[in-house]
Amino acid sequence: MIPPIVLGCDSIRGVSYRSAERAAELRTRFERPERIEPLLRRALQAGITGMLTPYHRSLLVALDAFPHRSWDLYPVIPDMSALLRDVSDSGAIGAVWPRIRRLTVWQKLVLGVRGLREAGGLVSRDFRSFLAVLLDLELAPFHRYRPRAIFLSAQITDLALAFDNAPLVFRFADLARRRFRAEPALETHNLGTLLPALDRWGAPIRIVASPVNLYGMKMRPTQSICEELIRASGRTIVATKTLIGELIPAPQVAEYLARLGVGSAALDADDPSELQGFLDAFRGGPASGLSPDGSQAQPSTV
Amino acid sequence: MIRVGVVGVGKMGLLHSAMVRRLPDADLVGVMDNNIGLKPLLRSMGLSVPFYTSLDSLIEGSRPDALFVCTPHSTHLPIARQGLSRGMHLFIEKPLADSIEASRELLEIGRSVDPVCMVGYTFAYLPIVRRAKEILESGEIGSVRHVEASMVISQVLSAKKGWRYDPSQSGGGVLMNVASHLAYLLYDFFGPARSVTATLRRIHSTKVEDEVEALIDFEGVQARLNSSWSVPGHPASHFQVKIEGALGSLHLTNERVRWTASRAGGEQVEYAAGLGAGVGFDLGGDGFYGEGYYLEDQDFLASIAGRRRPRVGLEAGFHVQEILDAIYRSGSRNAPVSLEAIPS
Repeated sequence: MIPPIVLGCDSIRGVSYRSAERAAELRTRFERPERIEPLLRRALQAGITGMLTPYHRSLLVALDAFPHRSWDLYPVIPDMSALLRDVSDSGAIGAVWPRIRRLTVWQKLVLGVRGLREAGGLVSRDFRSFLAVLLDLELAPFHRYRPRAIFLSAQITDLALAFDNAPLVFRFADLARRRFRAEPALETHNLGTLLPALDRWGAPIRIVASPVNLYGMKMRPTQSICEELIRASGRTIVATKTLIGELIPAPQVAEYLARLGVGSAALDADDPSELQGFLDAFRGGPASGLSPDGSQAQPSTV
Repeated sequence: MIRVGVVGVGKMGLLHSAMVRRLPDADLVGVMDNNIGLKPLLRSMGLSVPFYTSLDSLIEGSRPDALFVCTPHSTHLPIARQGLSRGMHLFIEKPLADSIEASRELLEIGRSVDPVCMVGYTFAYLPIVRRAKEILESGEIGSVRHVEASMVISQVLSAKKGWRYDPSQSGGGVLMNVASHLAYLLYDFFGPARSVTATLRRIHSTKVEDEVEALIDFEGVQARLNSSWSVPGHPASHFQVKIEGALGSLHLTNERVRWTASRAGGEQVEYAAGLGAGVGFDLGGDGFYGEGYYLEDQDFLASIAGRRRPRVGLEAGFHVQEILDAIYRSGSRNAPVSLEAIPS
């Protein structure tokens, strides 16, 4: 279900682990959809057709330039940083409004009916109802891509994990399958705690995205525990923050990920001309299913 | 097992509640907030501990050994007074209080009692900041001559509501809420300040400052501090500290510490991405602050268990408050302020 290599979105979102200057440069560059388009085109040429991303307006505009179904998007929602910022700026209602404005008239109608179903939960301040409405709102811009998997963002996953909140994860899994006909997946920054918890809960989650990198950055509680669990896990692990903004050379990353046996790797490239170099390095590793011309010969699926 | 109560369950209270849940040897036994509407929300988030609407009922009902105080700054003193009088250990979110007077009273009460008191200046625990301090203390860049420190975030780009923007509850604007981290860092690196000359500016806010610029004398080390929460383009807070020494220089940011030293020859860089070992649980987003929260809560609980002083005790919190207070005084008088002049 998740291809061996997907495009990550850190660079496009202006996340840098090198410097603030680079983060600012990335943000400025990728504010404009026409600057994102060449990166997407080059990725497609290289055989990358999947992308792990939260809502990013310029990215979705850039994707409009591509034929329908060129890209498989795997949304990471809700974007809690953006939501908290909007709540802080405009209050809870003010934060919801721009998300409603993204919707088509039909989506507003459908979501309105669904919202009524959650009304009881919203009135009684049930977080699971808030989450259901939030997922609806944040997924709407992705509908035309018919996502095959939806990732619950790390800030929600990890909060649920901290409070041992299995019902929230089950509710998300149910919503993803029933309402959005997609595979439920989790993003986490605490892989070494989450994987045993999912087993303990018997949670129907088969895909987990987590930072996996040579620095051990955000591999909690320790890099070695995460590595051990990745090797033993029956779940598909999508490695994110693999290059940490190119702090680690791609060949080393490829070798490391192959050794661990991750199911998929997200590549945060920002320069179309560098993409091929990364891919060449990755092909010996988790992307070994890619054929020499870059097309996906035997995609590993979940 | 240390029994922990959390007072104020906003963003920081929720974060500390989650961290306490993940730390060994700690048991979250209750939370308190005067907004009863939070109770069902927190319960459905999985926070299934008793919820109280008064501190008395939390103390009586759940009998915590320690409290995390995560309420508006103006409430820190009364809550601390009550907690300490009942022999409880206190973690007080930064800043120590909303004023120098309240901070002094808190310091005096804290000195007279036994429990551990800690102030939540997270920068004390950020691995990249610790590394920078190690480099400074090693003498690699020589005696420090000049410092420039800044911290920015795009938080107030129009007039905003809430207790943070009400000086009667927060004590001030960007300085209290954001730049106090930077003031702590400078205090941690260079000790108590001697004099301050500052300018405060409002851009969007009507009651608190949105920008601060200060020249601080740390006994021979001149530091320039700049901070704004009204700068576009910074969705997350970003800080940088440039230090010029007699033998080299050091540049510290969220992402890295870069230094040149004549002895070592050439530039050296270490990235925050490679320095997070020992962090058992991370509730941060893409940045590194989540590491600091885990490590500070761990230090607080370990200090209680080991009957030792935490890294950021009341004295440190008070000295930082002296700097904040001097900046406000200087800004309002439009004149330099000597810290010795503050009645003690």
